[in-house]
Amino acid sequence: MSPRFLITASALAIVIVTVSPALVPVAGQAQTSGAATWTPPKATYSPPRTPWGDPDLQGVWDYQSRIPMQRPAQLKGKATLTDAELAEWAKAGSPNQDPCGVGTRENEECSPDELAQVGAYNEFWNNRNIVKDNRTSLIEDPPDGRFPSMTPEAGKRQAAIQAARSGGDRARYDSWEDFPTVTRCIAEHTPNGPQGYNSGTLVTQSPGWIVMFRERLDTRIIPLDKRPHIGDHIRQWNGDSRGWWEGSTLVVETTNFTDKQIIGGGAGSTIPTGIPLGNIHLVERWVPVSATRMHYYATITDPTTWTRPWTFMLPWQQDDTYTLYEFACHEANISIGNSLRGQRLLDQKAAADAAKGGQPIDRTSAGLVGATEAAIRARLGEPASVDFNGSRWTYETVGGALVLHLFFAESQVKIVTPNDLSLEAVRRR
Amino acid sequence: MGTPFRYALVGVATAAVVGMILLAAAVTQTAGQTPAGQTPLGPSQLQTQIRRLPSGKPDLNGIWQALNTANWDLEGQGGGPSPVLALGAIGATPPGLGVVEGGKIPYQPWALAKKQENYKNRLQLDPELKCHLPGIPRATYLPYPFQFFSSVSLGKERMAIVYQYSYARREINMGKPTEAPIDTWMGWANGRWEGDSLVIDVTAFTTPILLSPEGPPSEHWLDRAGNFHSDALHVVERFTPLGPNHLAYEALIEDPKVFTRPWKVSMPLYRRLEKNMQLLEFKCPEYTEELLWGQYRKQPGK
Repeated sequence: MSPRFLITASALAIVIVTVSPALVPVAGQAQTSGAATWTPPKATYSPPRTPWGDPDLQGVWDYQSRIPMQRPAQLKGKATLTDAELAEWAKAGSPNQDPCGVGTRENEECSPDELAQVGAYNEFWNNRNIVKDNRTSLIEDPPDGRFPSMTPEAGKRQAAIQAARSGGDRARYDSWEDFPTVTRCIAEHTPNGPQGYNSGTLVTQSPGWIVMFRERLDTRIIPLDKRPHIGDHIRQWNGDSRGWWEGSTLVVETTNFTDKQIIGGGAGSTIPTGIPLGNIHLVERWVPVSATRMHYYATITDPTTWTRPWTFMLPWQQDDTYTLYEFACHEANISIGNSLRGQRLLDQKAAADAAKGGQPIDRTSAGLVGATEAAIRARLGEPASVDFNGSRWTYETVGGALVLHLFFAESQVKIVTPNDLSLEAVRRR
Repeated sequence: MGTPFRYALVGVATAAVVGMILLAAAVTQTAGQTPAGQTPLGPSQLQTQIRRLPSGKPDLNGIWQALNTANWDLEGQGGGPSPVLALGAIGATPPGLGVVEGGKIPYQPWALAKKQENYKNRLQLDPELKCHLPGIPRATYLPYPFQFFSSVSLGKERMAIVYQYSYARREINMGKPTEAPIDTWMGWANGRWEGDSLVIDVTAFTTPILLSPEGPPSEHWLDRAGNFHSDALHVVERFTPLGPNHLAYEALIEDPKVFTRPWKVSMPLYRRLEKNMQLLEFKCPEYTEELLWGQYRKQPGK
C-alpha cells in the first residue's frame, strides 16, 4: 500500500474517534423523537486557501465504494468491520467477468445455460479504486444504518408507483419513462452515491462559486453568496443549490427538486424507487479530513416521505491521475429506442397469437427443445451461423429484428432464445 | 501551421477594430439615456475597467451570452417563416446580419451542395433538434448563456466553461498543451493567454456516427441553416475583454475536407447582468424523447 493510503487510513481513525462521542448520545433518542438529532462532524484538516480566502478543494475526486446504503440485516448492531472482515467482504464483490465463451473466456468449456447468458459490462468498464471504508452501511443516521420508516401515505404512494412500473396491466417497457434517468441520459441522482464507473468529479472554484463536473451527465454549479433560492415553481433534476463555508467544510443546501425523478435502483442512485424527489430538502457537507480525503455527508429531509431525516456518508478521495472524459450519452443512445422497439414487437406477436387462439407449441421455438441437429436442419434449414464449437446455432428472422439462438448439448437443443418465436418468422436459407 | 497563425494575427486586429466600433455604437445609442450628471464612458475608459485576476490576466468569470442570430444562419438572413406550420410567428426565423467575416463561408463545391441539402432536410438532420452536443464554436452562440470558471490557486491555473444547453461543458487545459486522448463532440481544448486574449486551440472532434440502421449519420452542424464541418475541424477561439461587461469572441475555422481556406466568425459577448443570475437546467435529451422514440411507445388501448 502506498504512503498516501496509510495517511488516509490514519485520518479515518481520527475522524471515527472525533465523530463517535457525537453519535453515541444521539442513538438513544433517535428511535422515538422523530427529530433531527444527528450532529455534523467538524473538519480535521484545514486545506490551503485560494487567493480569495476559500478552502481550496480543487482537483479530481472519486468515491468508489462497496459499502451498501443500508446495513445488511445479518450485521445488525455491527457498524464497522475489522480489516480482516473487510477483506472477506471484498471477496464477495468479485470482478465482473466476460460471459462464458467471450473475450478473456473464449476458450472455456461453457454449458448451454452459460452460453445463453449475455452477461453485463465486463471488468474493463469498472473502476476499482475503492476508497477505504470499514463501515457496514453508508447510512450514518439513523444509527441502525437503515432508512427511517416511511409515513403510511408515502408507503401507499411508493407501492402505487412501483406497481405502475413493473406490474399490473403495464408492461415494463411501455415508455422511456420506465427507464432510469441515467439510461435516458438526463440526470443522475443528487445526492449521488457509489457507482461502478465514471464517478470521478472535477471540482473547480472561482470567487463566489464552486462547480462540480460529475463525469456522467451532471454539472453542479453552486453559488456561495447565500442568495435566495429560485422560484418554487422552477424545478430541476439536480435541484437548486446554495453553498457556504463553515470553517473548512463546504455546506450546500438544495431545494427545488423535481417530482419527475421517481426511479431509483440504478448506479449512483440514493433515493429508492417510488419516492418523488420534489419535497426533498437536502443538506450536504464536504468535510476535509486529510490532504486527499473528504467525508461527504448528505442529510435528506422530507416529512411527506420519512418520519425523520436521514444522513449517509461517502468518503471522497482525491485522485489527480483520473481523467474525466466527455460523457456524450444521449448522442448515441440506441438502447431506449431498441428496447421499446423490441417490446412492441413482442406485443404485436402476443396480440397475433391471442387472435389465433394461441400458437401450438410445435409451431414456436419452444417446441425445438430436445430436437437433434438433423431434425433442426430438416425443420429450419441451414443456420446463418454456428459458433462455440458447434454448440450455438443462430437463425435470422424474416423481419430482421430478432435472431433465434439454439444451444446444443449432447447433440440436442437444450435452450432456445427467444422461446416464443413463431417458426414462420425464421428466415430459410 | 503558418496559415492559422497569420489569420490569428489578423483576427486580433480585426477584433479590436470591431470591438471599438461596437462600443462606439453602443455608447452613442445609450448616450441619450444617461442619467443627468453622468458622462458616458468612452472605449478607453472601459478598457481600464477590465476586471483582472490577482495574476494580472483578465478575469473572465461570469455568465455570458451572444445576442445575435448566428445560430439561425452564420451568414445572415432575412426574416423567414417557421419550418413548422403550427409554430407560426413563434417559430419564425429572425433576421440577422451574419457573423462571417467577408460574408460567405468558403465551401468546396461538393460541400456547398451538401449544405443546401442539409438546409432542405433540417427538420430531420439538425443535431440541435436532437439535443446533440453543439461542438465548437456553435456552443458559444447558441441562444443560451454560459459561465466561465477561472482562477489561479496554489500555482495552478484552471479554466472551465459550462453551457446551459444540455450537458455541454469544457475543461480548458491552461498548462503545457496536451494531445487529445480521444475524439469528442466538444473537442480537446488547450488554452493560453496572448496579451489580454484567452486563446483556445480546439481539435479532435468526433467522426459522424451512424446512430441507427434507418437513420443518417449524425453530423456536426454550425447553425440551423445546415452549415457544417467535418472531423478535420480545427478551431482557434479568442475571448478578449472590451470592458467589464463585454467580450470580443472570434473563432478561426479550418477544415480542409470542407472549406477552401480558413475563415472566421466574430461577435461580441455580453455579460448577463441580472441580479442573482445563474444557469438553470436545460436538459434537452428529455425534450427529444417523443420525437426520437414516440413511434415505439405503447399506445393507449393497443
